[in-house]
Amino acid sequence: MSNIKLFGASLVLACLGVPALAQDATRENVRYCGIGHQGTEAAFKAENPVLSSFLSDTKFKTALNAKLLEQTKALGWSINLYGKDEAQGKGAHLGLSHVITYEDVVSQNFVDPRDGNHYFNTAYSFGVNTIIFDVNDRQVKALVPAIITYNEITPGQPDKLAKTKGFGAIFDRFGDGDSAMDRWLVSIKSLPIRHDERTFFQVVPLELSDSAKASLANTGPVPAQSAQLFSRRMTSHYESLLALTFGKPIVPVAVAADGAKVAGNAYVANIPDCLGTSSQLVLPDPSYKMRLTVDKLTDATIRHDIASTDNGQGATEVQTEFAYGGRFRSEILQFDSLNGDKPIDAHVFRFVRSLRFSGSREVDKFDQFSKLTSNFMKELLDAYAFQKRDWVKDNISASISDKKQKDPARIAKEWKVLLQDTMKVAPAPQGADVGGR
Amino acid sequence: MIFSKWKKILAAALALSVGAAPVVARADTLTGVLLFYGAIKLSESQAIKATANYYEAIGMSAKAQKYTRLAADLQNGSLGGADGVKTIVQCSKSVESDIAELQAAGVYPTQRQKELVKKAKEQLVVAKVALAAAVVIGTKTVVDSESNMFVKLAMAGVVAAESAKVISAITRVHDVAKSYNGYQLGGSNGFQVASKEALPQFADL
Repeated sequence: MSNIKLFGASLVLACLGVPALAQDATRENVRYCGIGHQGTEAAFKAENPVLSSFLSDTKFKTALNAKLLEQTKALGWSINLYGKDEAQGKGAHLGLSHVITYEDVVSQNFVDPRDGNHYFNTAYSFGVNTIIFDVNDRQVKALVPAIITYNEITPGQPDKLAKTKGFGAIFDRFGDGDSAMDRWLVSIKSLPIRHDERTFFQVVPLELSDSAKASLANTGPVPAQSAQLFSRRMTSHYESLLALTFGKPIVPVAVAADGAKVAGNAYVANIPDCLGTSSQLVLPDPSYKMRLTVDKLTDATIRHDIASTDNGQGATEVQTEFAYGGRFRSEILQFDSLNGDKPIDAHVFRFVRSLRFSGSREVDKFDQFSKLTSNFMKELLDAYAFQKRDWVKDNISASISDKKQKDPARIAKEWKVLLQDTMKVAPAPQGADVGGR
Repeated sequence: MIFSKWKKILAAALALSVGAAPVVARADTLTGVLLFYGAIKLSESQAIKATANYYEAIGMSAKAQKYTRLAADLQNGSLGGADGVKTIVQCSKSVESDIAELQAAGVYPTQRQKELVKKAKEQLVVAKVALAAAVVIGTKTVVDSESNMFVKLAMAGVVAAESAKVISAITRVHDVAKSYNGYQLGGSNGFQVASKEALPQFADL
């Protein structure tokens, strides 16, 4: 294990693992570096127009940073966190920043059965990496990714102004105890990082087979780049779910616009309060990598006739079931810088879920396949963390013919040894809020 | 899970039957039959009321009121026994469909709506206890009847058939309860387990 890893692990322990104690000199002094964003200024602005406009508003940013500092201090982590002025003379060589990684807006049209009117359900979400880094040598010591999501129902499709208001609502309600931002802080507060923490994880960019790419072709907000966008979004999502389900720090993977991994272990972030613009930070090596490949994505539409209760004349209502399925190959790789990746666990699963609506409906496949994959990731990680035999039994792929490879009891037993004993995975309690889609 | 709940209900019914036994023992067959149908009706009406409350808990008050009225009609005798079961099945399918639609659209229940479900759960428990009592009373009436074996067999068949219908109806309300639980938990992106009609289309995955 490299020194970087050991230092990072002990820092995670120091920062997150030990219950809050009274102020003492043994705690690390950490300077609060405010909110930042991932990537260069120009790249972030091009891909995230709404949030970049928020971040360029100095008044907004100052107010948000003050609130974030106060709330981050209240998390009870065992660090002495200081604002910019307070940190003077404290010798704080570590910095903490909340780095925004992307923004996303997804709208879905629906008819509310309660009043028969058309509405749009819009999910506003953004990724945020909470990172602790050495301000002097720019080494990342710990990183916790998360996704913050807020839903809003409106009669019309949100335009540019409505989208700005939607994201604004996330920040405006911050601090009321039940907002998306408050839930995010609660989720990272409850991370059960243990005192024997030794491992960092990394997610390999989600891979798509040609068949899966064909299923996504010409769908989504950018039809010409649906596969790349799908891979990028799902990789970010897997990172946040992995950190919060396994209770482990993450080494984020840099994904290029085409969905491929960017070589090297640099992390480009814009943290103006401590590092100026577009700084290159150095990431530690991961101990383990999680690789997910989507072999197949498919869908089917099924019509259900339901007896109507309204007129007593035996009339029927039609309910349409939009069913979506996928075949996923999940692998765990052991990594060291000398020998590279070594596969230590591999299984193939199927996952089928459905949505039901009255009558017929236009449904965007990109969004539904994204949700399906996201649900699969969450259930898969839960199954790993808690060695869920029944889940394996229900979801093992029909493509597996080897009896040993599809024996749920054997798989669960192997996972117990691997996840609990070898990898020291400390799952968060089930039911903990790990964000939305 | 459902079976363990049914065990608790049956245990409660057995306890109830201990109290009811002297009454039934003294009563003639006609009284036993009346008690049996009374318990069946109570069970059905409570099941309909529970379903109506699930409607209330998703914000559909008009439909909730409609089924509350039907439950009252059933209790005061203006709705036949067969209609009661049919009403429960129709209503439960309908509310389940509406819950699925709201869930698929990503609409979540309010805190007030979640609280309304407590009432529905209590009514479902009463429906189960009344059904279990009906089974006990019906069985005892058949056993204690002084009729010949053929009549006893016919009576047993009626008790079994009536009870089975109500059990299937209450199981439907259970399905509604499960749907609502999934709906109020959120976090599934609106997705549900695929139906048995859909699954064969994904058999090769």
